[in-house]
This record gives sequence, structure tokens and C-alpha cells, in this order.
Amino acid sequence: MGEALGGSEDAYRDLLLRYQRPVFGLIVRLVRDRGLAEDLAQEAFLKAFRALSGFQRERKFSSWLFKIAHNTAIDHLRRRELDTVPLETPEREGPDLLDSLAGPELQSPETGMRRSDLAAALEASVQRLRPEYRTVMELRFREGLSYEEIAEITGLPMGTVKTHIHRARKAMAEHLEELGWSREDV
Amino acid sequence: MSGPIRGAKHGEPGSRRVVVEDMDVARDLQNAVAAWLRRERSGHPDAEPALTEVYRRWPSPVVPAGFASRVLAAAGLSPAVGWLPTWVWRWGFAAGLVLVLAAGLQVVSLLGWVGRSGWLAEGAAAAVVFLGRRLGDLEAVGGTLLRAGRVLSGALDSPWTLALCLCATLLATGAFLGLQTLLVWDRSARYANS
Repeated sequence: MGEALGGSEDAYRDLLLRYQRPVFGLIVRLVRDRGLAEDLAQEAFLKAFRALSGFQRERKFSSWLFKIAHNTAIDHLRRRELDTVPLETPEREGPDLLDSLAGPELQSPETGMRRSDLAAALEASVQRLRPEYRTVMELRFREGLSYEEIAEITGLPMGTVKTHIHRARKAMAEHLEELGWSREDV
Repeated sequence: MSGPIRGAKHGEPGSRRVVVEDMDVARDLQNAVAAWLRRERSGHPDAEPALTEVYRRWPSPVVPAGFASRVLAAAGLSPAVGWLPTWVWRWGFAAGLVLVLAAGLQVVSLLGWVGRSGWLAEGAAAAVVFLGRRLGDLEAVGGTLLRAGRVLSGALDSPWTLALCLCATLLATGAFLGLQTLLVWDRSARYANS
């Protein structure tokens, strides 16, 4: 980290390799388009590289980077006025988007049919959520961040973060129950 | 069915081990989801850790191939070099540059050795004189270049210059090819699945 702040190209590479997956994952959950997410993730990394000299060392680097990624995606959504689907009126996602989000290793019907089905169901249950819910869920459960860190990244009060997570969990659970995924395999 | 077999890659076609591992992973994910839903339904305090477990078993979106390299290029940084230090990449380029220069000099020197390099220098100077006359008073510059060209061609006419250029070309070629091979090998290994 210190090396990157000092301008080492190798350290930049290490940071990029280390954080490309979570940053891309966060953005693709928000914008729901892999091509657009790639562009925005690139933009976020470039912003971060340019701002590295002003990074305060006492802050947590991952939170700082996630905040840049989050703001980049949110700015784009606001500009385009996209993604204003409320939780109460879920939008149905086509199979193409879900397949592309699930990744190529989940698209082999013979070897991973059940996993692919469930992954797609999970994906669909997340995609039904409002963008701010999707963000907090990704940061909390995929990245394991604390409520405080999520509040800092999203700029939301901590109480709102907790409420978002609570509601998102309930909505996801209800959707998966409806789809019949509550049965445990033996 | 036995437990997951380590070492098998997901999605690798035609592998029975992949099938076994994928089936186990599918069952693990399904069980994790069911356990979470059960806790969520009953308001169990462990519902949140159970959902973390679901996310852990649920693969995150795959980063597009070559993403890191594109970001580095857009940032104006040299292409990714994996475990090789940056100086290897730089010296590879330097060796390539030396190779081109040495090869060029070798050609000129070869021409000089057979008594023709003076033509090149004098031809270039004559072109400057011609242009000088067309564009303005650059004839003096052309004359200076002509004299410099003759001195240079004298040096290039030496067989020692040719031998020196030949050695430099061979060394630079070896260094260039060696470093580039290392870089290609390293990069393909590091970014094959990025």
C-alpha cells in the first residue's frame, strides 16, 4: 500500500489484481450490465490511481476504493436515470443477464445444473432489489464489511444501512422460498 | 458420492472429476441456502452468518478477461508483468532499441565496407542542400552535413565498425528474444484466467 502511494508501478498492479474482482462485482450488481460495469470499473480504478497521492493512510484502503467505485456507478445511474425499480414492483430479468452475471463456469448444464439453477435464482433475487439494497448486501455479505464501513462507503446513516440489509434479506428470502429453494438436500 | 476432489477446475469439459466437484459444490450451496432460509424464517440470530456462508459458496461475477491489462494501459502504465520486476520489461525494450540501431548501422557499415556508404551520407547531405535551396538559405547547413557525412562514412567504411555492429546486433538480438520470451511466458501464466 505504501509503495503504491509512493508511485511504484508494481504496487499499482498488485492493488489492481487484488481488488479487480470485488470492485467489478460491486459495480456489476449495481448497473446489471457486464460491459457497462467493465467501463465503470476501469473508470473507478483510474480515478483511484489519480487520487492515490491524496489518500489518507489512516483510512482503510478497501473502503476508500469501494467508495470511489460506488460513487462512479451511482453517478452513472443518476446521469442515465436508470435503475429506479422499487422493491415492491420487481422487474423480471431475462436469462441473458443472469447467465452473464453467473459466469461461464456456471453455464455447463451437465455438470452444474442444480448449482447453476440456484445461482441464477440467487442472482434473480438480488436483481429484484433496489440498487442501494444490492450495494449494501454485496458489501456486507460478499466483502464482509462492517456496518460502519458500509455507511462510510455509501454515505448513508448507519441505521439506514441496517434497515436496508434487514429488508433486503427478507425480500431475498421470500423470493427464494417462493421458488422452492428452502429444501435441504440429503 | 465422495467429497470434493481437489485440483479439478470448474467448467473443464470432459472431466469426470469436474462433474463430481461441481455436484458437491452445488449441494453445498443448496444446503447453505436452505440453512439460511430456515434461520431467517425463525428469526434465528445466526441468520446473518448463514447468509455470509451462502455468499461464500456463491461465485461472484467473473471479471472480464484482460481487464487488468486494459486498466493499466489506460492509466499509462506498462503492461502487466506478473512476477517479473519492471526493469526486465524496460530492459527488454532497451534491447529491442539497441537491436534496431545496431542492425541499421550494420547495414550502413556493410555498404561502407564494399565502398558504398559514402553514397548514403553524401546523398543525404545533397538532399538537404537541395531542400535548402528550395526553402531558403540552408546551403551552409547542407555543406556542413556533407563534410560530417564524409567523416562518418570514413568511420563506417572500417571493417572494425562492421564487426562491432555485428557483435552488438547479435547480443541485442539474444537479449531481446530472451527477455520477450520470459515476459510472454510470465504474462500468459499470470493472466490466463484473469
